[in-house]
Amino acid sequence: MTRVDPERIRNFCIVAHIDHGKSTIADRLLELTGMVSGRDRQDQFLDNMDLERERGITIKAQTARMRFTAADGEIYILNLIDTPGHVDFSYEVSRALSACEGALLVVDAAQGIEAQTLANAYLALESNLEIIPVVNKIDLPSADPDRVAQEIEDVVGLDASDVIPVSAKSGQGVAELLQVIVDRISPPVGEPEAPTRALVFDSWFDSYVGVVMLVRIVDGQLQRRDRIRLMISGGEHEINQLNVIDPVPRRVERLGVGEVGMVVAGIKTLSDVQIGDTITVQSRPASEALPGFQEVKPMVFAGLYPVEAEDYEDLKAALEKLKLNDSSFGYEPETSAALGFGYRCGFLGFLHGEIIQERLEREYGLNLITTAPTVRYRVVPKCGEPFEIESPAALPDSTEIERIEEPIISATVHVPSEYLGAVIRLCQDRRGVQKDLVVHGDRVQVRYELPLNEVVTDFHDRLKSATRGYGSFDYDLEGFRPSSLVKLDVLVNGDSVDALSLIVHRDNAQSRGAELARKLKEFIPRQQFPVAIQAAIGARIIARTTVRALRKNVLAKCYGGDITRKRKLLEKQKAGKKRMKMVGSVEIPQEAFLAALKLGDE
Amino acid sequence: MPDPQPDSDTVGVYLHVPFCRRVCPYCDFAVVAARCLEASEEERYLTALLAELERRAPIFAGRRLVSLYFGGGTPSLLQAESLARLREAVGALFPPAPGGVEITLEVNPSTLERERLPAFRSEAGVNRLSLGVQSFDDSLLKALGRAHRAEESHRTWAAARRAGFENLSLDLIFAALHQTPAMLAQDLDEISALAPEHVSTYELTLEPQTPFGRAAERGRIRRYPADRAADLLDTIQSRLTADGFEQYELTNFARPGFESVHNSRYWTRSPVLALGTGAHSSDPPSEARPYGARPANPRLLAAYLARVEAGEPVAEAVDVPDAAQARAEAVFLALRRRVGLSAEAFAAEFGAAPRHYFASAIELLASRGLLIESPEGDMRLTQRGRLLADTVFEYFA
Repeated sequence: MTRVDPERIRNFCIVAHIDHGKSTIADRLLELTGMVSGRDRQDQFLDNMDLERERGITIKAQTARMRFTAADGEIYILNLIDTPGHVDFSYEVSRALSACEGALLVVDAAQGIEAQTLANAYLALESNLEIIPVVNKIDLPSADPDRVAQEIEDVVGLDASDVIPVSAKSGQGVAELLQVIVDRISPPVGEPEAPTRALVFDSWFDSYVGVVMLVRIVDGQLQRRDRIRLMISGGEHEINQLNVIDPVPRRVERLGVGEVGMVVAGIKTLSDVQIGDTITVQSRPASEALPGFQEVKPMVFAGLYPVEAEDYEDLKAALEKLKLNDSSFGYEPETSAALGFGYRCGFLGFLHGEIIQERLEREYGLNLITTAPTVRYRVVPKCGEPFEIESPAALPDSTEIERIEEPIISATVHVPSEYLGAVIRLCQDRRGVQKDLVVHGDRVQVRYELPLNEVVTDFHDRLKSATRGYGSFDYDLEGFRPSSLVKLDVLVNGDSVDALSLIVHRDNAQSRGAELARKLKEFIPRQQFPVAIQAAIGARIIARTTVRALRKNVLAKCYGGDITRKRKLLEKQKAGKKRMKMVGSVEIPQEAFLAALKLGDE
Repeated sequence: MPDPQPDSDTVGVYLHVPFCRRVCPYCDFAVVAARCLEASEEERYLTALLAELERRAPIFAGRRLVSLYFGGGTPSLLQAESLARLREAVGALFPPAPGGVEITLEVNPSTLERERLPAFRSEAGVNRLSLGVQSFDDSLLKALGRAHRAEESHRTWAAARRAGFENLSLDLIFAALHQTPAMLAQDLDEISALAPEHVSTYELTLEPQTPFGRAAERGRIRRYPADRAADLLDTIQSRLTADGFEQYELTNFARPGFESVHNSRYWTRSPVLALGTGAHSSDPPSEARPYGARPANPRLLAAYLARVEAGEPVAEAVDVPDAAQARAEAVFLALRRRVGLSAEAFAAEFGAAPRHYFASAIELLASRGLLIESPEGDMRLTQRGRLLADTVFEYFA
């Protein structure tokens, strides 16, 4: 196999606001270069799932290598690199971007620039990528490509005359776009003779070959049978397969500077590979890893419990399976007096947590209760070493604690200026401190320092509704800072409901406690005795309410035909009670937990 | 009052008459609207009842008759002569018990029924009337879609006494629509003045398949707040008790000696032969069905007539309780009654005392003051237990 000249390689990705046509453009590019589209491959793949899994290697939908004959008559290799879709994966996105020299910034010709467009554009600019602005959907009756091109110039600062109008739907302009990619994006620069350095920008688990790493060669080359070393994690392996994806995985003997491909090296568990790691060759190792590596650590934690206790084993199996394909989340068994057996799970962020939960419920048919998400706190005890906790239950008695430190994030919100007031109110509500505010035309970028625990529950939802969907949000972890935090417990007739314990800022304890008690009251049915619901900090009760005793529960008559009906009704009622969780002698329905854990939704 | 155990040597017969002049919007019984009942229609239904009686009687053979109950619907729409024919046919199959036969007729307060009362008594041998009075508040009667008003209740009541009826029951509705405590107090005053022998109370329930039930689902009728319903129940209990009634069953009050023989059969799980549309029998135990069976007739008149006339089995469903279900029924039905559950009778039927099956439930409920267990293991509900009966019963299901 001949060496590919880096001069003939273009590595790029597509960034866009959701629904602006990223996938459709990718499909068109693939078709025009004579390939099956990503979606077709996916469908094909799904159709033949079982068989394919035995023979081929799983691939990610949008990553592909295309051959394009440019105007100069030369054949170019265009590597389209897929990027993960949301804020919790910003690190992964940044790694994928750093595998590219250029990005297509796709904007809808009718809707114009939206929040995510900007966030993505900034990410790409920060990675020093050549950005090709593309206005898509120019075939729509409501399209106004000129206005949108001007908007791109005004807001993002890219020249309006550089904007490429296309219709991914009709194919109009897409062929030109391929030529523009060749013309404007620089070829990869690297030292072919230097010690090998390849960036791992994605990886996944394949049940047939094990871990697959998606890499971009920066310097040197990789060859089949090379002994490689992962420079950060330190693992050593032998390459048994190199593949390029055109359109399905095709084995190659080597990958040279600027090339993108899949490396299979007999790695059994995904957690042995970290995104952002650098592969080098053992026989002639590079002295320094590629810059920008960060260790990805779960930041958000929640307990996941099956609604039906008998689903525990299924939950365990499902978590194991998910973990195979997502090394960024972790789980360990946890027991709750109120909810029974479950797992404490760690996620990159709250959206990541929501995705995992949704997948467990949708793909694995599980019915789950998720406890309030919490963050990692650092506890400095009066004597002994500081330690970190991931669950309110692990917080020692306040008398033993010198201080508690909480994670602080630097959050950037992009929003049309008309919603700025709402965003500021929301951030201030969440103990935010404004760091700066930049106006771009009628858009504003505002940066806040926020405690992560104020963001994990519903900040994103609130932001979306306060800005009617136009606000986008991105964040980085800044570090830990001491804060006046307390553990809020909920007591039902004196018994603590462990699943509802929270760590909150002292100033918010009163209102959160009252809200929790109120929510529970709404959902705990009246019982044969009064039920006192209390919120407490340590031994101090800060909120209290009572579910009054049920006075009457007897329905009218019971004559001939009523007896069978009555008995069946009683049997049904009793079965319903079995689904309730007992806290002391109080029966608490699942809905009460779900409602209490959804605090602040309304 | 009958013993708190199945009275297997006797039989009660229930005859359902589905016709009503108009159908009340809260009613979920098997009824058909018949502005005036055609003689031919009456004859056809009567023939079917008699045929079903002949066919079903052998299962109850050898038992003496203690009660005959004409229920509905509006059985008083039938001619006295028709009731007499039914009574004769029943009497020919089952000899009367030594203590006599309670013959009850449900009657609506109206002119037509009022005129027939003497004949019901003399020709059909009816000796107990159950009057569908519901309330003496005309605004409530109107809202409930009832045809009669308080005035007609008074007249019918007087006519019944004049006709010589010495065992009168009336139905009292509560927790209904816009009913206030004052309205209920007024009703109780009226009852006090009329001095019936028996009062059946009905909490208005909004059954899903009725116009009221659908209206409630759409929020057009408000469900009566449970605490206020409890207040009304308190008032009813204290007033009727002060008037010399005993709450001998959760929803029934009687002067001593005037407990309903017929309805007590349901709570003691004694055999009842029930005929007509929507009727549910309690068949006596047999070898194959050691805890008896409850066949249920079709609710629709056409379906009922078709089955009877074609000579097909009439019941469209039969509930055959197993031992556990029978135990649950034995407990919750017995606990409905003031006398409660006899441990001895229970043990005789199920091989061991209630405690053997329900120890933890009994202890929990007793500790919460809902139930009293005697040293012999007999059980009855406390006053609080009566108000929370459905909560208590659940522990035995």
